[in-house]
Amino acid sequence: MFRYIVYRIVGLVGVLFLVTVITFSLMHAVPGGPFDEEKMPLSAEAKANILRKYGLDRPLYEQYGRYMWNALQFDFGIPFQSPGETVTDLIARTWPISMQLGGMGLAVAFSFGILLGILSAIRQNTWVDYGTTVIATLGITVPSFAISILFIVLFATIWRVLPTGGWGGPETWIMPVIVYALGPMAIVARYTRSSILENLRMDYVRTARAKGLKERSVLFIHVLKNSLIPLLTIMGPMLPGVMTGSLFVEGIFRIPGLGQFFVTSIFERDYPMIMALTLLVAVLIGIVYLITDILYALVDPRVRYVRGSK
Amino acid sequence: MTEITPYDGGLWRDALRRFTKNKLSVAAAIIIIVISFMAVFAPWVSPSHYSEANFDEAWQFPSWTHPMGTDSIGRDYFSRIVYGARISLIVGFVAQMISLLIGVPLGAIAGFKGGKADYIVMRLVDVMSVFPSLLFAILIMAWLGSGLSNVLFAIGVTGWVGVCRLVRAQFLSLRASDFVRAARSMGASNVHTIVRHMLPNALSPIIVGLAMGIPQAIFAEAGLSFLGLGINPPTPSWGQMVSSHLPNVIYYWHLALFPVFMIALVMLGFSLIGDGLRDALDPRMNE
Repeated sequence: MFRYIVYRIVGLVGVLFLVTVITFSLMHAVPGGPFDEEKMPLSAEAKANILRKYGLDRPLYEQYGRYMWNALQFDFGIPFQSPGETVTDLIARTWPISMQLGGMGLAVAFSFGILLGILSAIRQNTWVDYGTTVIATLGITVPSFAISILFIVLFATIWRVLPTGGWGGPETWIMPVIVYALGPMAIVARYTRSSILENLRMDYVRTARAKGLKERSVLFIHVLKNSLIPLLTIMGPMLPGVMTGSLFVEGIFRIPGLGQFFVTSIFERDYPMIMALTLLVAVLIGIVYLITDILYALVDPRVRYVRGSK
Repeated sequence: MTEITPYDGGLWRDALRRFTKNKLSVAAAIIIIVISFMAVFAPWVSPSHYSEANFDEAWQFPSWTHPMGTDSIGRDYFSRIVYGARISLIVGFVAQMISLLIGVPLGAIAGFKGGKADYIVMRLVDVMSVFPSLLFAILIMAWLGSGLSNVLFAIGVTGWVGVCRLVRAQFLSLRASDFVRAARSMGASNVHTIVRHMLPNALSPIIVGLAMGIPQAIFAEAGLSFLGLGINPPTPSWGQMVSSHLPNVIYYWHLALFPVFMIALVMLGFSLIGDGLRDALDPRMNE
């Protein structure tokens, strides 16, 4: 087991190394630089000074080497868009907002998703079931920015009950959180429904009914416990996306989270920020995969035999 | 006495029969066909050209002469929506084709050869799956510049991982099957075995993957254009139309709403067709 984990971690480090190389070459292939004429009119001397200060006058391989050396010591440089702070500060300031939005979204998604799943399973093939199916299909297929705009039109301009955007009191949370939650909620509802229906056909349910338990106890004590465990496996892959914020939802609702920097950093040729964001997301996804695989390996020894022996 | 003949539909006729039984998927297919007709015959369907401006008629709400109103410089909005369908459908199909051209051969080689080839392909897949794909697409667009062909390239290059995994898994299980062994023992070459024997048997998951990938590609284009990195104006694209009218959504809400509605409709349509195809091509799924 220990060998398997080490093998996987080494693999992940290799993958992350490749990700940094690709990002670094791609972002330097983007024409233009962070301190070009049209962005800030500077004398040639001043520009040369700035380039030297950030090491941008060096050959690319040297810049890359220096970046990686600093990154290994958790120094990710200074964001060109906001030179008064470090990349670490900027992320520490904006990431919690995205996390708060994501956390609330996930909580809403799971509570309502499970509720809808249960309702449509015990009222199978009634209008409750069909209604849930419609909501779930819409939640999975309709893009989040489309729903955001629909919500703004309905609640902020026609009925005028909610603000169009911003990030302050709870009234500004409602729309983005619901938009954020709809997709995951749809997946959770579908999953819960089929999981409960599957469990209802099991022998232990027949036993529980045969010994005279009330239908409610059968459902809530026996079936629910067994049906909800698989939900944990679908939560993992959702986490990185939910935690780092959506640039569409945050952009439309003007939320000062991490999501906006995915676009502005590239427009501004903010090299340190692009690298940091890519690494952040890649590390998060990588860790989620790693944990999932290790959990699988713990449950199923065949996995670690086959993959670990190579 | 009536003669009893065995049903000889074959896989495709069978699948078509099962597909047409699913009313939701058929309805979705009809919607997509109608929108495709709109896109192909756009010059005849739309009342005017998408770039024809008439400043006297700017900022109009829907009416009989302009069914979806007009935009800031008086262009007929319905015409722009119709022409926008072209971009979405082209991106959906062509970007997916690019993804298939990358994903299918890589997956086939990995699953068929195993060993080193499999290891290399799977590490590549690992890199692509931890890479934030939207960030990757934005970087490529910033590098190459906006425009339709670059959008197709960026979306195609970032979207092949799913198909590759699917094909590899199929080939891994097909490699051990009897008919492949029989073909190999009769001296069939690698290419012949892959193309003539294994690929046809892996076709239905590829088709389902294709149908599920089209809405993702359309969504990616809408997203890129929404961010201003997609299709160049004045050529209309739904994503770009949404973003350019977002600041005015409070007053001229219809200008943001119509393209949003179309994006949602097309994505819903292709997803439902994908669901229907999956059920039709893989009958084991529903007992």
